[in-house]
Amino acid sequence: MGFIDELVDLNEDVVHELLKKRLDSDEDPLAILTDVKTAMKIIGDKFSEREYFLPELIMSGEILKEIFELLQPKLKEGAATESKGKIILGTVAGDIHDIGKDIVRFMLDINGYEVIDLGVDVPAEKFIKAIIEHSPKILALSGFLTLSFDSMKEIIEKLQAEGFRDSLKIMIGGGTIDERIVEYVGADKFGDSAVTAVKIANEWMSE
Amino acid sequence: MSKHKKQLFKDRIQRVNDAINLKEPDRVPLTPQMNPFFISNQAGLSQKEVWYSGRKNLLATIKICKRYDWDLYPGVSQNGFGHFYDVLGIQNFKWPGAKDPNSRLPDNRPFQAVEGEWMKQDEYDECLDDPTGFFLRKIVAKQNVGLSAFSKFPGLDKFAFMGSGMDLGLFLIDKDFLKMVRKVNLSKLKLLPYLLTLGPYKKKMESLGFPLGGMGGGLYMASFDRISDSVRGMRGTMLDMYRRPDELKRLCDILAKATLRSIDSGKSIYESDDSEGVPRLCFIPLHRGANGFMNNKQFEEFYWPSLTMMMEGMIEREIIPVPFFEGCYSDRLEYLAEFAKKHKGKMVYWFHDIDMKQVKEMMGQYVCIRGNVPASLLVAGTPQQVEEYVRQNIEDCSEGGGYLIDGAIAGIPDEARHENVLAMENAVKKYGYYRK
Repeated sequence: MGFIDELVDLNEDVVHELLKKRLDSDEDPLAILTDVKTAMKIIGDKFSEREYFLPELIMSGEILKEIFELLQPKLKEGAATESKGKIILGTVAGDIHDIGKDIVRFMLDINGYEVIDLGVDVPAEKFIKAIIEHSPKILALSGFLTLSFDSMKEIIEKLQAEGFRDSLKIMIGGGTIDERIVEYVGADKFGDSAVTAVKIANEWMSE
Repeated sequence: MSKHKKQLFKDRIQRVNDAINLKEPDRVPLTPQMNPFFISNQAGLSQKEVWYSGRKNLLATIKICKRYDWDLYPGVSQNGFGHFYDVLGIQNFKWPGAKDPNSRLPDNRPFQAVEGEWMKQDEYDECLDDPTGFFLRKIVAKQNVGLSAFSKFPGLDKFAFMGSGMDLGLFLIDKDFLKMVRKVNLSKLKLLPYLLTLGPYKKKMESLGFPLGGMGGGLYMASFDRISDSVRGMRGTMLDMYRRPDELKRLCDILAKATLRSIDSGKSIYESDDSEGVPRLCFIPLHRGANGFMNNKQFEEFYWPSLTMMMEGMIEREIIPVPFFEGCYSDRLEYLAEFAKKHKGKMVYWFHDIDMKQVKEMMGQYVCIRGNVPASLLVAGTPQQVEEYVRQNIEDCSEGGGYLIDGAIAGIPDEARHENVLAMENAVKKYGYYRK
């Protein structure tokens, strides 16, 4: 099996060996980077198809981190990639849960989006600051606790009051979020998984 | 207790026990467990007050519970432990009003657990060689800065020795240890008055005809979740599934067995004394077993064995496990049904996001199911929508008994509207009678 397959199968030790060989033979690091991206896309697809789950995402992220530690110094600056668009993401004020948010970030990222992750317990002001700075088309709000309903509502009301709402599409998601909460908080759509988040983003970007 | 209240108490217990035993009661029981702050929101207390004044919270609980006619009422939880948490210097929780700014949340926010990697991957051997010693020295001492003196707790070798008490004796007169004891001891001035109100609280509730069902048999966790939440962190635990699978499974088994030994050695502070006929329900909120967290093979290998071992041990001890399947468990229904078949009428399965009709058809003849009025409905829905949801659930799930109505997400959410909670109750009375 080649580098891509080994990475997809999460064979950590073999991936290391192959990577070392490729780096030692002075292969163009951009070619390695392209393979890594291909592998991550396959891993993301396997996640979408429910062949891979969270342990595989976490393990692939770990291997990826190790690959980048070796690869980064050899990558020249300006190896920027094309992005489908910017998405601002965060767990809303009052809630510090990040598992769902992080999976959404991973899936959006490997599907070509530039994700600006504001972290957890994010108040409206921080979202607004990031919106001014990055002018995204999409805002993605995450929340696990039921208090996030009111928190999302407050954030969206502030966006409305300050004139940012109409230029944004807003998706929400998390443990107890459903269609009722979309209406309650004034969002556009909800996603029950990271896979749905990607679908919604693709749909909105192609509008 | 007045004769009327006594009868009310008896009827409620009978109703719940019949449902658990898969017999048809007179009507479907309504058994809302409450998230900690529903009461405070209804009573106008801040969440900090709940956390720091358990007595106020218990009085509010009695007042608010009188508004509702349920079959089980909330027991006690960690409310009122704020000062004690401060003294222990707990690092893996954040709560309203904490003394330590790192743990402090605003006065009106509910507490939240903070997951972390408290044990490193290369510490498995040390942990498995001497689990209790390791947990005392490395986990308890780090997660509770007020107990950091335990980092000096003697090693196992010092106990397996002719002078087995020597090093322990020296540890007990160590200045850091003595300082720690003095501090913890002082905290009892704040803690004891609260603890002393728990008995009268229970008595008062029972005199009103309210059986306490909250956590009569305690609150326990699946081993995998204990490790994921507060030992290795979720990321660490999931990496262990690849890198240290055997060690992870061994630790899961050790913790499940330890849970059963704890049950044998005495009740925890949260447990109520047995009241006649009140089922000893043991709440087991599950975290990482849901659909998205792992595949069935991993569930079967890492999650389910130690959990079923623990639940089987509880059943042997006449405790009724109430696993709460938070999230969606549709991928796991075969496992759940198979286990229920082996332990007919001995458990309650509490569901969140699931097709209850399908669950009833698959395993309703073996296990009492509970749930699942959505949090979104109780917070943001209308009373009519709540009524319709409950009616449909009763239609789908109540045949032959074995069904308890409750919220979907660990009971009544903090922000639930009173009129929606009332609508849930009224719907049960309107549609839930098997016979009058």
